Formats: sequence, structure tokens, C-alpha cells
Amino acid sequence: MKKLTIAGHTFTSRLFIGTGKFGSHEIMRQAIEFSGSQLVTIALRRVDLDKAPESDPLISRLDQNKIVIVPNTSGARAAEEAIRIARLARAAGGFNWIKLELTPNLHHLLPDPIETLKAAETLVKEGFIVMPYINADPVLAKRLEEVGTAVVMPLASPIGTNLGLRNKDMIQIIIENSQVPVVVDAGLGMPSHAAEAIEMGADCVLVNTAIASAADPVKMAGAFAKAVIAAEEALDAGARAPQRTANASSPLTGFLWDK
Amino acid sequence: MLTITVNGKEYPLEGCENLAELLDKLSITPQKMAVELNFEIIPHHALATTKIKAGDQIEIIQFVGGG
Repeated sequence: MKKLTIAGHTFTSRLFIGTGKFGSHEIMRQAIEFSGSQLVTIALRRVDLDKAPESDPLISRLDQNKIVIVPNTSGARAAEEAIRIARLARAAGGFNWIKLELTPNLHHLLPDPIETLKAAETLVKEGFIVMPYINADPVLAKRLEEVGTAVVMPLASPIGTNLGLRNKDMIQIIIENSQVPVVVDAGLGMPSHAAEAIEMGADCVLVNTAIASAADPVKMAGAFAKAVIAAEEALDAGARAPQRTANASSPLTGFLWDK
Repeated sequence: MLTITVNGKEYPLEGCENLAELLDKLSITPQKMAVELNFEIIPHHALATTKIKAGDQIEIIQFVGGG
């Protein structure tokens, strides 16, 4: 496969990892390291003033020489909230990458397309490298690309559901039409789901819940990494298209079928 | 009592003239954090020179795990 480059940054691993829900910072660190992932997402929240200050903040466990850190705008419901979070992330950590995540409804956590487009326009102008999390809508994906987002991130299925690729046909259209890398995000529950996304032609996948909430997150991170590599290698190997009629693998001539 | 709102909760303003003093009182080292005063981001180098007054709304934000 062609090398994956986003905003001038080249990635050898097509597996991106979300850092939520891990049992500890150390398990998270190990899972990321073991997977070989080079891009992770983080979130921003208020400091809890009722608790003792954290001696070992999450951010200190992420090696910025090896990993691109992308803060997300989770919690935002409107464009201005997402823009505020992006600016805070830049002020706090100097991060220029931002994953736009605008989810007004807690039941399904599906992204608001209109607010996402509005926020993307502003943040691109402010010099952010914008990664918008979207429903698998090819028209929206194109609109985002046109305002200058670095990638588009269609969802496989709702966040945290492990349902796998439920938007396959629409994601396929996005892949076929996109001029920017396509990151399949959310809902990928098993390594096979991630492999399928890469086999379809997605540039990369972003996985969080399936890894972080596994009984052994480090092992699961490795499993996802292998699946992604397997899919890449299959594409490099020149996989053949499926067909409707059988095509014998064993020779049919030379014995019983011969007269 | 004169108060300020920090991360949505009321705190006495007493003894804090600027943001650096407030963070110190709260035992917070603002490294890898962002501080907002009335919706305006205050850069780290300006914390000691940014005065606070009763009624101010302050947000102190840090990074956590997220997908």
C-alpha cells in the first residue's frame, strides 16, 4: 500500500488508538507501544479540584517523539464548544491536531454534521489539522474535504458498541471519492472488523473501546495491529475480486470426470 | 464573602490576587493544562500578571483519556 501521510506526517502503522477507558495509564502505555500505533487521541476535562492533583498525568505516558497526539472535542454539542476545546488543547499542550467530535445526543452519540462542518471551517482557518468524526455520509465527507480537513473519519457503528462495519456501502463510496485519507472510526469491536475496513480501502482505523475494555488490552492491541497488517499485506499481494460462480481449485480433469 | 467560580464551583477569593496565586492555593501545577478566565484563554506566562476579582469564572482544564 502507498505510504500513509497526513498533514505531512508519515505513518507506518494504520492503527490509531483512543486512550479512553483503560484500567490504568500504564496498561494504556503498554497497549500503544505493543501495537506500534503512532497516533492516539486524548480528551480534555476539568481538573477535579476535590481530588489530590494527579502525580502521573496521562499525557506524561505518551512519547511525543514517537506518537502524534490528537486531542478530541468530546463533550461538545455545538461548533462553538468544539472550537473552544480545540483552542484550550492548543493552549494546554501546544497540540495542533484536533479530532472533531460533536455529539449532541448521549443515547446514540452520533455526530452533528452541520455543527461539525461549521467547526471544521473555523479550525482549518486557525491552522488546526482537523480530523472530523462523521456519520458515513459521502456528501458531508466531500464538503469537509473541501473546507480543508486533513482526513475524514466515518463511523463504522456508534461509539463503543463493538458492532463492526454497519455503514459499509456508504464508507465504500467515501473511500472511492475521497482525496484525503479515510479513517474508519468507532464501533470496531474485533480485529476482523478493522481488517475488513482496510481491505475495503480505508487508509486507517481508530479503535478505543474494543482494546481498552478487553480483559487483556495489551494483547488485544496486538491483535488489532496484526489484523491491520494482514489486511494491508493482502492488498499488497493483489487480492482478487469475488465472483458468483465456482472456480475449482483442484483440477477437474484427469480422472473421474474424464470419459 | 467575595467569591469566584472555579470549574463550576464557588471558591473564596480571599488571598488570591492573580491566577498564579489561585493555582498555587489549589496545589495545581499548570503544566499541560489550560486556564480560562471568563472564557478567555490565559497563556501560562501571563498567569502571574492576570488579576482576578469577585464573580470571575475560571476553568482549569487538563488532558484525560479519550477516544
